[in-house]
Amino acid sequence: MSEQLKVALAAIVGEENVSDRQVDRLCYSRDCGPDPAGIPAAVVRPASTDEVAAIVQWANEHGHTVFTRGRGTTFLGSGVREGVVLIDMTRMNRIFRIDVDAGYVDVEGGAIWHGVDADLRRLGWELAVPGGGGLFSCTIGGTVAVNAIPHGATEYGMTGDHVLSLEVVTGAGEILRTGSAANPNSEPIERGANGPDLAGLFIGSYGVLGIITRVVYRIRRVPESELYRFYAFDDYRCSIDAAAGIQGRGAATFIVGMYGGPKPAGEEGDGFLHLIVRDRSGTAAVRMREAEAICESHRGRPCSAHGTQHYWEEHMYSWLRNTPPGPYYSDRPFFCPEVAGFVSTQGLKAAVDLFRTMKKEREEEFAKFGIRVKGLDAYYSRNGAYLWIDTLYDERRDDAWAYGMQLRSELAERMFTDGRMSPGGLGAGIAPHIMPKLGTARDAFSALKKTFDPKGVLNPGLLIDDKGMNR
Amino acid sequence: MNLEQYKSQIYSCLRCGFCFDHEEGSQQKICPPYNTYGLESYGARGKVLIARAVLDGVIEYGPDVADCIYACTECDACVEQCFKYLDLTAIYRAMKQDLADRDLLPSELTAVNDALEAEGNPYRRPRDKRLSWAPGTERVGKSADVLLFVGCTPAYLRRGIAQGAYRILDAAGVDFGLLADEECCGHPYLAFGLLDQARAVARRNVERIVSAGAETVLFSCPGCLRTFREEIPHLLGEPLPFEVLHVSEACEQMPELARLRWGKSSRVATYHDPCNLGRGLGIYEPPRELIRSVPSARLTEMPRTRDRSYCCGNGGFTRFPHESMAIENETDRFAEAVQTGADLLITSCPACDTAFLDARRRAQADIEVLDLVEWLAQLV
Repeated sequence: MSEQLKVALAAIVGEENVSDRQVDRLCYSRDCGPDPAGIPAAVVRPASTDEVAAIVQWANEHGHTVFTRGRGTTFLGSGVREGVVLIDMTRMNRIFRIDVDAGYVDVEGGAIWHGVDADLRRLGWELAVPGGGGLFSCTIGGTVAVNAIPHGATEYGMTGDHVLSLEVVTGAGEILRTGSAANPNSEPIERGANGPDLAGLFIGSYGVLGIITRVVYRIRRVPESELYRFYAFDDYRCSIDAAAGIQGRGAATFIVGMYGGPKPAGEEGDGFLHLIVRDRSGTAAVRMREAEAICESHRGRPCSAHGTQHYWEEHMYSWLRNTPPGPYYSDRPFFCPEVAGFVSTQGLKAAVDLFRTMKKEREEEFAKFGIRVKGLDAYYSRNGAYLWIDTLYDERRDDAWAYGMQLRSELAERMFTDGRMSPGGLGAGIAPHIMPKLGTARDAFSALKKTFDPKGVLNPGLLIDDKGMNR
Repeated sequence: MNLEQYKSQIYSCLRCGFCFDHEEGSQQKICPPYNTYGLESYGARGKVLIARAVLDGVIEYGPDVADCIYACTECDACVEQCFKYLDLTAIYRAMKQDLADRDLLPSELTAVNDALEAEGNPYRRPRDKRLSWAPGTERVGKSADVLLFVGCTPAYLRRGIAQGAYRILDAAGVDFGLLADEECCGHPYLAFGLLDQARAVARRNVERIVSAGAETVLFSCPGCLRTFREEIPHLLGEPLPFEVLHVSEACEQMPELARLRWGKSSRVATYHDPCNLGRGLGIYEPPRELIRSVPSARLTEMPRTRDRSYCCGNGGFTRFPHESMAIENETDRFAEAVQTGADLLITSCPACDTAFLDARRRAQADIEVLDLVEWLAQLV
C-alpha cells in the first residue's frame, strides 16, 4: 500500500485505525470456511457511519475496492480479494437504544450478537432470534447481511425477518435509511413504511449493495418456560412426517432433524428430532403435549432430552449428538465445506435420499481422503427445512482439502438441481453454484448492483463478478 | 521450529471468534491486547492465524510478529473460551521460543533479561537487598519443613506482601525459613521464550530448596507458584521433591494456619482473580473463603469473576514493551472494581496489586488496594 493511500485513510479514521502491516492484514483473509482468500492491502477500522461513507467515497474517487467484514464467522467463504481495503466494522458496536415499549434494539452494525443479547437478557428481553445463526460471536450487521439461519427458525423464522430498519452506506457512498426511519421525523418502528421494502434488498446481499452500519432489530420478552424433548425414529421418513405435523400445528419453537453423521450417543434410529418449545408456562406445556402426541403417532420413541437442553442453552452442536463439547471438538483439524439449503418439508425426504446415495457412491473416495460426514441435519422452518450437509476434511492434507472443495461443488450442483434445494447463505463458496441458475432474478440482482454500486467498489467478485455478470 | 509441534492444534482453529468477547454483555473483550489495539493480530484468533502463516511460509518471524506475540498477557482467557479446546498459550509460547531463538525479543524484554542475568530479578535491584524487607535474619537460610518463597516483586516492589506473608506464618507459629540466595522463579524467562535460562534458574532454586530441607514451599505470588507447580516439573523432567502451595491454600490445609482467627473488619471487599491463580491453577475459592472468614467483612463480586475474570493487563511482563496497553487495561479493570461500591480491592498477586495501585493513584479513587496477605496480616 502506498504511503499516500495510507495517509488518505488515516485522515478519515485516524492513524491508529489503519494498518498495512502484513502481520495485521493476513488475519483478515480467512473466515470459518475452507475457502482461501486474498490478503487485503490495508485494514481500516471506522468508528461511525460517516467514516464508512467517507471511505467508500474515497474508494470511488480513487479507483479502489473495499471489502467489509464483521467478525468473519461465515462458513461459506467471505471471498476477500487480494489488495482490497478491508473495512473492519467491529469498532462500530454501540447500542443506541433499547426500547422495550416499542420492542426493538437500535445498534451499530458491528455490535456483537451475544453481547447485545446478554445486555437485553439482564432486562428480561432477548433478540428476536437466538444464536445469530449459530456462531453467536458474529456481528449483528454481518448476520443480517448474510441473513443467517437462526436457532428457533421453526417459530421465529429467518434472521432478516426481524429487521425493522437498516442504515446502509451504498456503493456510491451515500447513506440510506429504510422503513419508517427513512423519514427523519419518524421512528424506526416499521419496516413496511414509506413504500417498498428497501431493507429486504440488503438482507442476505452479503454487503455487495451496501454496508450495513446500523440495525434496528425486534426484541422479545424472554419466555417463561422452555421445554425439551428428543425422539428417535426407525424410519427417517416418519420423523419428517412428524415434523410436518408439528409445523402444521405450530406446536414447536424449534425442530432439529438428524438424518446422517454420527448417531446421538446411546441412541439407535434412522432419524431423530430435537424439539424445543418456548412460551408461557401453561401454553408451553400444551404445545409440547401436542408435539409429543404427533411424534408418538409417527412411531417416535421418546429419549432423554438432556442433550437437547444443553444444545439450546449453550448453542453447541455437539449436544445434538448427546456429546459434550470437549471430546467432540478438541484436537480436530477438520473443516467443513458445507452445502445447505431450503427444501419443502416433504421434499426433504428426497434430498436426504439423494445425499445418502451420493455418499454411498463415494465410499472409496471418502475413505481415501479421510472425509467424514459430520451431520445431515435439518433446521425446520415454518413451512420447510434448512438441510445442512456437513462433510469434514483434514485441513492438514492438501489432497483432502482439494477433494473437499470438489465434493462441495458436486454436492451443490446436485442438491440445487435434483435435490430441489435453495441455499440461504451464499458466500464465495456457494454463489458460483446457484447464481447461474437464477435466471431473471440473477439479472435483477446485477441491475441492483449497478444501481447501488455503479463503480463496483463493494466486495468485488462476491456473488457478482467484477464485470457485473454473475459468475 | 518449536511451532511445528503444535501444527495439528493450529490447523484445528475454527476461527469462530469466541476468543474475543465475554458473554456477560456490554461487548466486553476478554483479551487485553485486542481490547487495546483492536486488530485481530493481537487477539487469539489472529495469533493462531499468524502461527499458521508462519508454518505455511506466508510470513516470516520478524519484529511485527514479535510485537503481536509479546503483547500477550498469558491470561488464558482465550483458552477458557476456546471452542476447540486449543492450548493457545502453549502455541504463543512456542512462537516466543522461535522469536527468542532468532534474536527477536523486544528490546525492552532484552533489558529485563539482562537484569535477570545480572541480579536474579527483573527489576535490576541489587541481589544482596532481596531480603532487606524481612523483619530479622533469624529465618534466613534456616532449615525448616516449611519455606516461604518470596518472589521478586514482593521482595523489591511490594514489600508489604512479603512482610504480610511472613507475619501470618509467624503469628500462626509455623516453623519456616527463607532462602538466603533465592532468585527469580523463572517465570519471566518462560514468558519470553527463553527455556534454557528458565531451566537453569529452576534447577538452582530447586536445589536450594532441597538443601534447606523444606517439604512444603509457600508462595504469595501466583506467577511463582504456577511456575513451580506446572512448569518446573516439565522443564526438569521430574516431579518436584516438595509440595508447593499458595498462602490461601495453606490457610486451609496447614493446621497451624487453619487455626488462625482474624480480627473484625467491616470492610466491603471485592476480589480480583489473578489469571495465574484462577484460570491458571483453578484456585478461586480459597482466597474468597479467607475474605469471608473475616468477621464483619463482606465480599461483593465484580460482574466478570472467577474463570471470566478480566486480566489486569500486566501479565506476561507486557508492561515493559506495551506500557500503554497495560495502563489501559488495568484502568478498565480497576473501574469495574470501583463500580461494585466496595471500599477495598483485594487481589492475590503482586503484579495485579501493583497495577491497581497505579490505577488508583491515577484515578485518585477512595477504594483501597491490598494484596490478600497484606490485609490478613493487618487482622492477625
